Amino acid sequence: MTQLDRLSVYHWLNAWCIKPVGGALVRQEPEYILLALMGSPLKKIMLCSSEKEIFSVEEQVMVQHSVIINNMIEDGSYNHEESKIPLDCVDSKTLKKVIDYCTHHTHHHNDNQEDLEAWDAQFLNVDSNGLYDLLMAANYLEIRNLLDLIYGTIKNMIKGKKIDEIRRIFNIKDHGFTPEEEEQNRKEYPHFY
Amino acid sequence: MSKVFGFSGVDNFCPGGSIYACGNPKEASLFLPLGPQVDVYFPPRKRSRISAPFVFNGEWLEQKQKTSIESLPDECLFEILRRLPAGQDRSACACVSKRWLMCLSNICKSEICCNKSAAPQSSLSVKEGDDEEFGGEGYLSRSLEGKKATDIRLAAIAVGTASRGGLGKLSIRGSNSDRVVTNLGLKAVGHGCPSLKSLSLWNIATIDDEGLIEIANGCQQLEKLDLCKCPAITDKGLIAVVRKCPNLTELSLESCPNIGNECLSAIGKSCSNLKSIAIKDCSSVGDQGIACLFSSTNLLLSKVKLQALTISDLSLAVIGHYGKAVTDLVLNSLPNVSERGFWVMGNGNGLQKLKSLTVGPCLGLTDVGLEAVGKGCPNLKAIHLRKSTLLSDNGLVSFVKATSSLESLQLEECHRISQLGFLGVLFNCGAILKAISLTSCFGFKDLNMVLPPSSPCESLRSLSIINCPGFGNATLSVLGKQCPQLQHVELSGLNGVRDAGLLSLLESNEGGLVKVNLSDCVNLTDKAVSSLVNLHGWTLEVLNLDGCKNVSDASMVAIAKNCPLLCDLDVSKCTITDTGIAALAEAKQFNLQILSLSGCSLVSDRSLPSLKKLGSTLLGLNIQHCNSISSSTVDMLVEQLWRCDILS
Repeated sequence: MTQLDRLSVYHWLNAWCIKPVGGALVRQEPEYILLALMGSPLKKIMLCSSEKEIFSVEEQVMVQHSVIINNMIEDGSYNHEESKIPLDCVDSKTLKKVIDYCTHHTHHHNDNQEDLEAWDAQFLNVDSNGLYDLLMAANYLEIRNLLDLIYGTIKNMIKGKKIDEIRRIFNIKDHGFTPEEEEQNRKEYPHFY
Repeated sequence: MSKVFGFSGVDNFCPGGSIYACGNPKEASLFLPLGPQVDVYFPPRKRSRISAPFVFNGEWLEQKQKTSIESLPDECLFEILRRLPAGQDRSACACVSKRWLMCLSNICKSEICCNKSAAPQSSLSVKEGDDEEFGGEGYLSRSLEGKKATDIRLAAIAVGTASRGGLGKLSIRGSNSDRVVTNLGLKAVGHGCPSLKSLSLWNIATIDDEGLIEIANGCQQLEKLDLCKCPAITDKGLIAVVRKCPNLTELSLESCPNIGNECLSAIGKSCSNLKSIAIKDCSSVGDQGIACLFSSTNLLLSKVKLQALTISDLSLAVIGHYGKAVTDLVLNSLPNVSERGFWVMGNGNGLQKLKSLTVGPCLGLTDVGLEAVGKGCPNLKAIHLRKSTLLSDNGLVSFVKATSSLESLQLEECHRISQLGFLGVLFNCGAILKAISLTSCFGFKDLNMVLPPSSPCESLRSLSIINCPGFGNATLSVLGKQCPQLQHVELSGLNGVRDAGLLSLLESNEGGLVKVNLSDCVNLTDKAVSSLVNLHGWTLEVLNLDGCKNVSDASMVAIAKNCPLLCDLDVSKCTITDTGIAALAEAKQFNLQILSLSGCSLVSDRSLPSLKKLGSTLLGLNIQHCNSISSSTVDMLVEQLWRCDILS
């Protein structure tokens, strides 16, 4: 069975999480169903951070979340036995967090919304450097839901704040306006400053 | 690397890793203002151990300076900013930095995602103006001129107006300064102002088709477009606007040498709502374009203005044949149009609805041409001819005979017209002509004529003779007898007019004059003015004696006594003194609203109480160049006559 087929079957099973057992429908973890159907252990892939640290993670976890990794595996350039996927733009700390996120969301997919959100909030409780690193990593790996989460968080950091505060929070030293333009803005929107 | 060196301790003691956490290390915007860490790959360094009592706080030892949001690439910033709903927050972000402003201005309506969170209070948060309609109804209008016309200002306007009602009207006047409007600014407007209805771009050499295409894509409710001196815009840009903005009703093109026939034929094919078009000085526009414009079946133009073009008789023929909906036609300075053009236009029988025709310096307008036009336009109400040097008295009279509905005739600098023609018009105009105006027609000579008796022209209400040096008393008296129902008389700059002539006009008038303008008729004296107000004071509302040096206080006394309805009086440069003003103030039932005393140097501070008394009804007072009125008096007047607009 090709990788693509396995993925689509996986998703389908994940959505339904059922298996007919003796006439009745039973909820099962999708990994076990897959095992039962495919008869082979779940494959793991190796990700290599910029610091040359190797992380081993279930293929299905990364494939489900990261479009880049999914494409790499699909087009066959990745050889399970030997190769590692080098991610030179992501450092170990960030990569670990990213893997953490993907793994949690895959395994706890069926949790209720509140629990997931609480976990996400806890997950993003990092300083701004860490947040930007996570954002870059998620952008590079194209992990849609992590990106949406981070964008939403940053957006909430902006919402409702005054301009001087925003500049301080985001450490914007040079705003790029000429003195006349800045003056004009202050006159037109005094309540924003 | 830390493992090689055999450190013991936590990993984040010495944070390593690349600063450039995204794929492209060469991108200049990502260079952080940091000291020693300028390398792409930053290896972790050996740090000396410091013993207690220091508390090892990871942050204190952190090598990296606090990175800023500036290190994020543009696409990430775009994603963050597009999640902000239209409203206060977007306007605030537009003021944070130039990069944020330009990023915001690139977001168009379809790209904003309102994050409908699953929180139960989402309905409450929406009320706070989060989800305001983007772009609104287009209530606001903005105008940028000179140094302020920059891309940044446009982007700020585009973002700022989106949440405050939307931009409806934008006008940009370019200049020769360094910071100019470019396509980027227009792109911001295209993305941010979907409700833009009227756009006017003057004198901007730095925008071209790309900018106009952005506007066409984004502002599809555009109704009026006005381009002047935009040499880089060609047919391509305008065709895009024409195709994408179905509501376009008014188009005006001036001095755009690269817009030509192709665009006009596209307009003919695609614009069904265009009603008014004005083309001036566009050298690429020719007969073919005009022909396509008029001969199209789905386009019904009503107002057409063609000036300074190289079109020829063919265009006029097309207009004459196909201009079924044209109501106002202006043809100015068309050097290649000859007599044949006007003749064909008149005989085309297509200009059935033409109400107003204005013809500027066109050598083609001769007697024959004008007569043909007169015959061919049965509904023509107003005609204005400027600098028609070939038009003679006969032509004018035959034209007036040919038209059946002419109400207003205006002649300017038509030097072959003399009073014969003028009187011929009066005799032959039928009962419909209401207004005649002659300006700067030097062909007039005041001759004493004996005229055959004829019925007076009862319909003429307004007569205006401005700066025609040959006009004098004789003509004036004939005029008076011929037009007894005049209400509005304007005789400006006529040195030949004296008291006697005016008197005869006044006496023949039966209707009662309402507006009289005798400015710069320097030979008129108090006698004329007194007769005027004696005979017509009971209907007079507006009296202008600007520059009549011989008018003095006696007139003021007369005016005060006889003109209860007078609301606008202009006695600038007359020899009025304080006595005159006092006399005005004494008037009973006087309801003067506008009084002009500019240049009356004999009026002094003693008039203050009179002016105050008049000021109870005054709305406008002009005391410029009254050298005898001191500034303290002026200040007092300004303070006390707060309802009045004082010019001093």
